Amino acid sequence: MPPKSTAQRRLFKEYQQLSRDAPEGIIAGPLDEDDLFYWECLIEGPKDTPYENGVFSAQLTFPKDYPLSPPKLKFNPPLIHPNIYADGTVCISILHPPGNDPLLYERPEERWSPVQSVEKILLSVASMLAEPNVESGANIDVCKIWRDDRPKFDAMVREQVRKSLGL
Amino acid sequence: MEEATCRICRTEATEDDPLYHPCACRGSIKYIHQNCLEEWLKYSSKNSQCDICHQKFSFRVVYDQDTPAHAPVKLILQQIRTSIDRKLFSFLVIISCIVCAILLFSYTTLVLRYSSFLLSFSFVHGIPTTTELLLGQSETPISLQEFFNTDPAGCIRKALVSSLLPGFLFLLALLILGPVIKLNHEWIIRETSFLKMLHNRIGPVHSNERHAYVNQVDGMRIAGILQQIQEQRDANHGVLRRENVDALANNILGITGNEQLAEAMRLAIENVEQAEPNHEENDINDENEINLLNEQPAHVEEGLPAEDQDDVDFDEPPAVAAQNADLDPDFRPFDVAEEPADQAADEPALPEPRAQAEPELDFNLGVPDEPEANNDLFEIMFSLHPALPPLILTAAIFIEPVVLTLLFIIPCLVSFAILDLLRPLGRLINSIPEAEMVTSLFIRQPGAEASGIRIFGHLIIGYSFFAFMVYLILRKIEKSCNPRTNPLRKFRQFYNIVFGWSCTFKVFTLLGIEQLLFPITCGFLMDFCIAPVMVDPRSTGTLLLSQNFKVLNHSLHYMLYLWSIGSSYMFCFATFVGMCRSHILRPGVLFFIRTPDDPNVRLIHEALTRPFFLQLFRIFISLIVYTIFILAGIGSVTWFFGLFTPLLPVVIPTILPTGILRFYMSPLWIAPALLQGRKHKDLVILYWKKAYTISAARVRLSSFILNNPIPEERGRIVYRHFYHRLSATPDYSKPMSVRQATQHFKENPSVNAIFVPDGNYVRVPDDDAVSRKYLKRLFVAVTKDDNLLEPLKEENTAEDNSQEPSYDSDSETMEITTHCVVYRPPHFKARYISFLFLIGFFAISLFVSCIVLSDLLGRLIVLPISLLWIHSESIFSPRINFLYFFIGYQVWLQIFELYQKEDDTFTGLALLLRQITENLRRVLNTISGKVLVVVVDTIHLFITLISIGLPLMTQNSAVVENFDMLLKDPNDELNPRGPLSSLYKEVDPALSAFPFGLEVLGPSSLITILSIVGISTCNLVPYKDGTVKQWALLVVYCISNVLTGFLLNKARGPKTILEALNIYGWSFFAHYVAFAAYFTTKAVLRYFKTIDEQVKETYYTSRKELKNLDP
Repeated sequence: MPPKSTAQRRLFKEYQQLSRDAPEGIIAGPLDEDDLFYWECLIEGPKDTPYENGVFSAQLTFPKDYPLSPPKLKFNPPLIHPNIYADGTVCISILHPPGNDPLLYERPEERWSPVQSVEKILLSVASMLAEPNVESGANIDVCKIWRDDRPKFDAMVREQVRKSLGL
Repeated sequence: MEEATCRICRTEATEDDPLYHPCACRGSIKYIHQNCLEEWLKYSSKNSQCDICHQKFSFRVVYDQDTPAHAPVKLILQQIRTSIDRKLFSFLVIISCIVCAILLFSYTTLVLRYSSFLLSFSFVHGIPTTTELLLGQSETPISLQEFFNTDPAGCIRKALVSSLLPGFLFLLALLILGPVIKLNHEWIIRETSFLKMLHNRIGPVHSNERHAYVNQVDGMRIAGILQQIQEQRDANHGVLRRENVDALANNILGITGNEQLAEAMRLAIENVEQAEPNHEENDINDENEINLLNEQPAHVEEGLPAEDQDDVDFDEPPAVAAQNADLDPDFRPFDVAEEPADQAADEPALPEPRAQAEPELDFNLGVPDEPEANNDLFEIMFSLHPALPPLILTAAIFIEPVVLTLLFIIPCLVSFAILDLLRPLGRLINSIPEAEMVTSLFIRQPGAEASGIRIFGHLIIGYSFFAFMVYLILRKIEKSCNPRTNPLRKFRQFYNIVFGWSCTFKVFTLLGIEQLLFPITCGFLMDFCIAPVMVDPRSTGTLLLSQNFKVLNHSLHYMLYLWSIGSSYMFCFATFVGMCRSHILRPGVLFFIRTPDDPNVRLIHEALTRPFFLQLFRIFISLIVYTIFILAGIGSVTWFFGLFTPLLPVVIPTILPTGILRFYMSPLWIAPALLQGRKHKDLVILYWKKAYTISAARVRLSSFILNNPIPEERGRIVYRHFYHRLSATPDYSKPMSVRQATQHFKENPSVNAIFVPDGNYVRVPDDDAVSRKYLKRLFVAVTKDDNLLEPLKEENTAEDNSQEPSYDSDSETMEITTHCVVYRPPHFKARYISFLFLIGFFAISLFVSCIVLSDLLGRLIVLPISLLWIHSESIFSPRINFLYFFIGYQVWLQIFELYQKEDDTFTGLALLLRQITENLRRVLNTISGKVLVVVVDTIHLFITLISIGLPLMTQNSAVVENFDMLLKDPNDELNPRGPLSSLYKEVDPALSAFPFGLEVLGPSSLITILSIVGISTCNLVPYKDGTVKQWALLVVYCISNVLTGFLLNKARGPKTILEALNIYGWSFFAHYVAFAAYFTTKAVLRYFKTIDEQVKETYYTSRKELKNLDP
């Protein structure tokens, strides 16, 4: 099945690459090989963090003009994290479309560029889980808890991890 | 090894679509397809550069195979012609602009001429300036014949200048003043205290009448709410729910605070709702209903009195209005949906964007007519419609006389009328002989010529009369109402406008006096004070420095000169005060002087609310203080040194130009010293800290001034006899009263001095903020623990709390309770004044010692060099030499800087040398360094050409001699010849036998050497990273240099070093020619190449190909 558009070609290549040598703790791929624009991923919680032992599922939705614009990543069920919105959407600089940030929060190099890839996005998300960035938080409530009451935050996350594992 | 893939689409290279590596990225992202890159660049709309390594992508044009190497000549010529054609139109526009500008300026000059004729019944002769045209001429005019006879060659230039310049300056002044006043007005009517003042005078706004600009903002918000309604209606399938209507109405009530408006809104929406069920299925009616909905704001607005709408118009800042007009001709704040235009026209409520009516703004705003207004000035010039300049000209021809009549002639005529009425009184005063001079300035005599100051006086009288009339009218209106019980209704709008503008002129006058008149007065005093520094008052007989410069006879120039020196003095003074305040003084000592960083200071607010004459009085008081400071602090010193010592006036080296130019050049020499002085701020602060400590201790004010309580200062010492002052010290642990002390002296013969405490503690402010009210009375005697020594009188406190009796004062000034308690010795005022004198003494000794020491050090450094110099006498002259001072000062600064770093002075000196060379290298590497080198270079070329080249060609030293006389300093009595005397000494046949010695090497040869060093550095620096080609160029340059010198040597045979240097100058000239030829050829070739490329791109198929970046 030869893919037609640039986006499809590229996604197919990326899928091949990822299935050939996937990074540790990350599994990703399209749910249906006919629709390459919708991927399902599983991310393992990084060690030595409250997310440890958890396996979190997330959906990657690619736009038609991928790789010019970035995909969207959404955790389902939503994950408690300062940089993840209450509905599960991930807020991370690598997923932000190119162009200059008016607030100068992020340097242009940190934002989406076709040079990035699914693998890099997922690796960034994994490291984001380990080190939240409250400077530009997405979920303000969680940010507050993370900053002011770390033990409570850890407990909340562990509780969620336990639930997700069905314990 | 994986195959290379495109970093965007991750596919490999194909036959049609090869991979490129255009940037510095390596690894998996090294390669890219051209298509993918182009798509990405288009998408990200970034500059054509890699977003990872920021390398610029470069493309090259690839032509089809059948394209010839060069386009045919015919096509190239055609291309050149079309490009010229395209530019021709723009040039025509520019030419029409220039012609119109010339006509406009000369017309303005003509109008000014007639206005001055109207006022003085005589034409202004000669080449008047704008001010002379406006205010009349004070000098004796020269006749027309004289005017053309004096300088026939320059008379065309003079005629042009005299007809264009005054008009241009007048228009420029209008263009600057108009918007500035308008802006000032905008600020004032937006000031909250303005509304408060209005409220105090004519009472609150009528219940459904609100200030217009508030309405406009509200209108925007209501528009937003209406939009919401529309959306909700859509969402609910056209049905508005009752609670929504209420909520929205409340919302509007919240925004505007206007119940009537909210009620109208509610009714209107209900109407909509009632109308709804009847026409629910009908599309046409549905549309009707949208219209109805859109009409709401209009209905609401109709509830307001119509006069309010004028105010909307009035309040809209012109910039915004103009912008609106430019961006969106249909801009309406209330335009919620697509409202039919004709409907809008019926509604009086909508504020129309207003075109600026003032003529000076026409000139400004007319330009960005095209939809895509570009920032580039040239783009605007090219896109200008050709008919616009003549239109502006025509408008100006009609408007200008009106403006001039209103602003200038009518006030003068009014003043004439008033003074004519007062003439009997004037005669009465004139009978006193001394008063004649004063009154003759103002009383108009028929046929008398208008002198500058007289017309100015008339203008002031005229404007004051108008101001008085306006004041009377406003008072009359105010009296017709009572702010509390019966607010003004009838003339409210009129009052608003007149009051707004009168406030504007009040603030503008005050700010003008503060910013212009005040510095000019200071400048006048400074002009007097620095006169002995620059010229010898005994020989010239002048009191003011400006009297020695003919150029300053022009009044405008003179004012500018005074203003600049006055404000620079004020700046220095402010810097000094700021330094003392932040580093040395106790906070609160200078509570009566504003700090620049005081957050409570609102200049406009203060100028607006405080009474006019009170503020004038304050400015006058501070002027007196400044006068004392300038005259006592500076004038006394300079005049003392100028009259009684041989140190002044300062010798300014002949390298600097003469006359007024020399005077204006001096800041160029002083500025770097000042800038460097900033680095030595710590040192200066250290000096002043010491000075303050010593002076304060002398007058026992350490606690008050520095907040440094010294127990010994809290009393005086009583001695047994006068001579015991020399030896005896008291026992500070045993303070006594005077009576006890006399007793003690009798009882104990060994005690010769006793400490007697006196003075008391006072409350003082502990903060420098001015605009504050203190709840407790300050400067009252208290105990150490802030308990009152004697109870305050009741009225004192009351008076203190109502500092500002005027009813315009606002309650916003911060009331603070904090203060501190410091020791105050007896005879406080006398002590304070003597403290000021001590500080003045320290300041004078700092300046004098700084100048004298720098001068001495500079002399020591220059001494060995000056032995070779032609003017070696100046080194032994006692007068302070500017050059020596400058050199010495720089060296001192360097030494001090090192002294701050290194304690060991000897290592310091070694470091100094290293630092100087390093600094030099750094300077040469910067752009300004290169500019410097180029400037030196140009000077060198100029001097070699004129002073050496010309006499060599003509074999006539007279040329040099004449030129030398031009350069010569007229004040320099020591040397009958100028700086070039060494040169014609050589060329003069009578002197050719003179053996060449080192003294023949005059300044010119020094400059030659300097520029040799300069040019080589200048050439080396850019060539440091250059390619082989540039190196080759340098080699060719050097060889040709040597060759030219050699050939000329051969031809003439150098007799002296000087001649050899002359030849070097010639060879230098040859290089300039060579360089010019080289660059011209290069530019011409480049031009033809671009044309060639343009032609090829138009006539042949081509495509762009990405260039690979080679590692």
